[in-house]
Amino acid sequence: MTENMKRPLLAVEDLTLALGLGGEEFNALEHLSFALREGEARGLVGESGSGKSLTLRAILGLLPPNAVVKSGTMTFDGEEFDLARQSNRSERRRIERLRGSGISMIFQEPSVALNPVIPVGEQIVDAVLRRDHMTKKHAREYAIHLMELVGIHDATAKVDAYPFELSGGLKQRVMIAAAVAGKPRLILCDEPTTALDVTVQKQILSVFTHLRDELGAGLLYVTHDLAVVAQLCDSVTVLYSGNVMESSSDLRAVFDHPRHPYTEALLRSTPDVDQIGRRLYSIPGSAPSLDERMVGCPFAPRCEYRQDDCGQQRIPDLSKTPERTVHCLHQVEKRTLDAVLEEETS
Amino acid sequence: MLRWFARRLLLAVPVVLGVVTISFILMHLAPGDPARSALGEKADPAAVAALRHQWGLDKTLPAQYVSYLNQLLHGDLGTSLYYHTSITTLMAQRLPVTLALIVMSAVLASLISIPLASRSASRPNGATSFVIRLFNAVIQGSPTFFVGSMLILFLGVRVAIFPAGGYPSGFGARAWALVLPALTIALSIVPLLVRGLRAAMIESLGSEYVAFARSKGLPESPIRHRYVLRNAGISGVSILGIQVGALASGALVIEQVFAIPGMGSMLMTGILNRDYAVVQACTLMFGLVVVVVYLVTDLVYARLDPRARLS
Amino acid sequence: MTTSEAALPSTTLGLEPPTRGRGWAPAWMRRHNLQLWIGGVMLGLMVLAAVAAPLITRYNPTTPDALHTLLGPSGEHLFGTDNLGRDVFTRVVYGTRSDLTIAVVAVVAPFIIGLVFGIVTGYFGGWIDTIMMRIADIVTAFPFFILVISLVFILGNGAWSIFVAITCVSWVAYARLVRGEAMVLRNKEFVAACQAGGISPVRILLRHFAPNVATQALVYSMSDIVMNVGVIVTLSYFGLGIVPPTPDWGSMMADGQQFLAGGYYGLTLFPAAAVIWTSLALSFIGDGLAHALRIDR
Repeated sequence: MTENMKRPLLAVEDLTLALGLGGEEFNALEHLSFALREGEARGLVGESGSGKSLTLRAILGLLPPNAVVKSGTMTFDGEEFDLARQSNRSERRRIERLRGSGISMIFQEPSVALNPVIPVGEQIVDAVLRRDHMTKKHAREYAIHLMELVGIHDATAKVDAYPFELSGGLKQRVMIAAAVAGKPRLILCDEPTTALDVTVQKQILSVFTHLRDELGAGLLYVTHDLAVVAQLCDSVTVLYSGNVMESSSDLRAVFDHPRHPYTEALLRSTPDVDQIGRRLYSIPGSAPSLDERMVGCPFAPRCEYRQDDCGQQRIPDLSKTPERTVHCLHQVEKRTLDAVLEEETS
Repeated sequence: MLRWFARRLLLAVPVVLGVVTISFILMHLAPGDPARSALGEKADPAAVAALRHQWGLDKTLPAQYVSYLNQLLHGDLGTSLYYHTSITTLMAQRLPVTLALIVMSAVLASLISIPLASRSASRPNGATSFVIRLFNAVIQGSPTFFVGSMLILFLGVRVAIFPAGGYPSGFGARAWALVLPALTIALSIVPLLVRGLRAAMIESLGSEYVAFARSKGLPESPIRHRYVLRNAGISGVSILGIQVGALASGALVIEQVFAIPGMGSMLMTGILNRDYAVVQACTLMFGLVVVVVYLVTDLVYARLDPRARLS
Repeated sequence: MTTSEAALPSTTLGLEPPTRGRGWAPAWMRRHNLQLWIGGVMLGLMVLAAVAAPLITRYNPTTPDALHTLLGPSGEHLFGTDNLGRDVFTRVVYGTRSDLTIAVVAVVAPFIIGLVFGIVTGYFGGWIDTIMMRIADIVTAFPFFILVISLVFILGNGAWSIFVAITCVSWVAYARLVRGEAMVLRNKEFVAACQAGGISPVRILLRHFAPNVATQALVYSMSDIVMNVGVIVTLSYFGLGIVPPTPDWGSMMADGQQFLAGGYYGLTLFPAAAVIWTSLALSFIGDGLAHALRIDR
């Protein structure tokens, strides 16, 4: 047990990934590293275009054809995978074997991620059915069971429905049911609530909390919403423009005291019901597109704490504690976020 | 589903009526006198007058239209001037041949197109794709009768695997005799079918539902069959349905080239013999065949894609 | 619209998405729009040969020469001679004059009729639209070639009736295409802006609709010409089209066919090659135009 706690379930090391566009290549992820213990829920936070989804797809070998992994290894349950050698057939097969039972994934848009012409029940179990040689009848019962597990009340009536006959929230529950069908130890979540109404979002989040208790699976939860991370996760990794800005296995510590200016800026721009009247901070400028990236800290052009040395070289991890990473030369001084927010409220 | 189909059927009624009307207009608004044209310039005026009376050309146009409709409702397609028999009887022999030819060519077209499309969809920029595209472009530019006579030359005469033409008796021999003509007709729509299927397959392969299926751990071969092929097949069915007109046009040409006694060659001999009633009946029947095939396509489509039943 | 992040960068960079399964040419050809150039040169050569026919060949396409029948290709007779001793090369070149001219001219009227009907029905909608579309449904219920051949039968042989028959049938495709485009455009904001600014519908139609919509129809017309060439050649093959002895590819192939078994392939293959060459050229141009005008088809 203690051994399990120390050894990570998933570790991604030094992942660099380029996208080919119009004959040129642009780095979409640079030297990305993070780890996750058995049963841990880690939030992967960043604006759109920061490479969060690409990270998830790289882990499962589901990258689009124009993406090239330059370097990077992944360790899952003690087994090492070379992500840069995915053109090799046997190397690719090894990752493919993880899918479903080792690692599974929930996609952002339930309306396009389910096959429109196959009933949902069939889509929930088709992977399991193939592996375990389940009978059709048994598979149907299992699908109903899973649908009930994710909170679909009249599962028997819905099991033969087609995706277009279900609401967005129900489709997302179906996708979750399909993702847990193979009893995975890690579930990758690609903004699973973004496409849904706010009230439905809340319900889906509680499904995740419930599933974590029930199955003990780890979660790698991609989102741009820090409030969701606060509700669901134990740890957090903040991405900006394909680079890790700040990472910590203790979520509370980051929320209480963000050390990277970008993390601080994100927290300051997150609405909080408790503090009505506070003017939300908005980060000046916009995230660079792929062809605009340059040397040094990618956040520098928009950073309040920027100094001349920020743009000269790649910023190493300058954190003093092992459970935390901070890629910043001029970290936010030791003042709590509450203090900053109070300043802004008054 | 039943109500949906009933509505579709109802929508087809005006089209059928229109098809009937056009076949009427074709013959009755023709410049000149069909009766004279049918009997030749030097014909006896009395004989021409008799024929005009027999065809009802001496009546007013609305009266002619009403009797034409009345005739059709009784299953009477008129009398052939050339064969001196009822066209309905002739049609009963000829229509099944043409239908068999069309069905066979649709099947052959699918059998050829699916592997070509999936091959070129899995590596869209590979050398094989390039060759397939070039093949498509050349085939698309070749007149059907030319492809037919080349196939006869090579597979019917030089290497005599198939009969070079004709329509023997016996089921097996007949089916065998239809292969080469059906292949010719099939080739004429293969380029379109490959193009459509390939686009649908590429779209499907890059889709989120295929990525999700992969993430669930489903192996590649069932993904190809149950996801990519099935979803692309649905658009394949609608392409085939739309192309039935092209298949019928192909049958018209190819029955002539291969000497197959179907509706196409009946129409062609009708034209050569200036047999107005036969031309009219064949045009009408070809139109009706297309309308029926459209209906069947809708039905199959709705069977395959549950979303279609909504609209 | 996919929402996966992988699809985002292409839009942020303003580049076109990766090649989809459309068109003929591979990626490297598309980059420089080579297919437009190749198609243009191929067609240009044909047109040039047809126009300058009397200059590039010293034979007459219709004069028989009993002493030189069924000769193979040689320096004297580039493509050989036919059973009546006529020079095949000369006949193929003169055939371009009749076949390609009718095919191109037969596109003009359907293009204009379809454009007018499509814009009017697509823009105004309502009962005009319903009636027009029903008529279109009925015309398309007939197989294209069967309706054309029946019309030619009624109207008699010759270029004029081919022209009328094709026009009667093929305007529908243009009308459908243009109507679809017009309906999309109608809902765009600039039209509302024009209406709000008190500009008359006719002006809106002429200034904004016609050019936008015409480019689509133009690209389609290339494949329509290919189809027309096929129809004309097939009609003539069956002796229903261009009246002999006017040189024409279809009747040349029909005449040549009886000599195929004897090994005289050239009589059939050279006119066939001319047909395929024309079709290839036009489909290259169509693809190239679509690419140049950024039309996804």
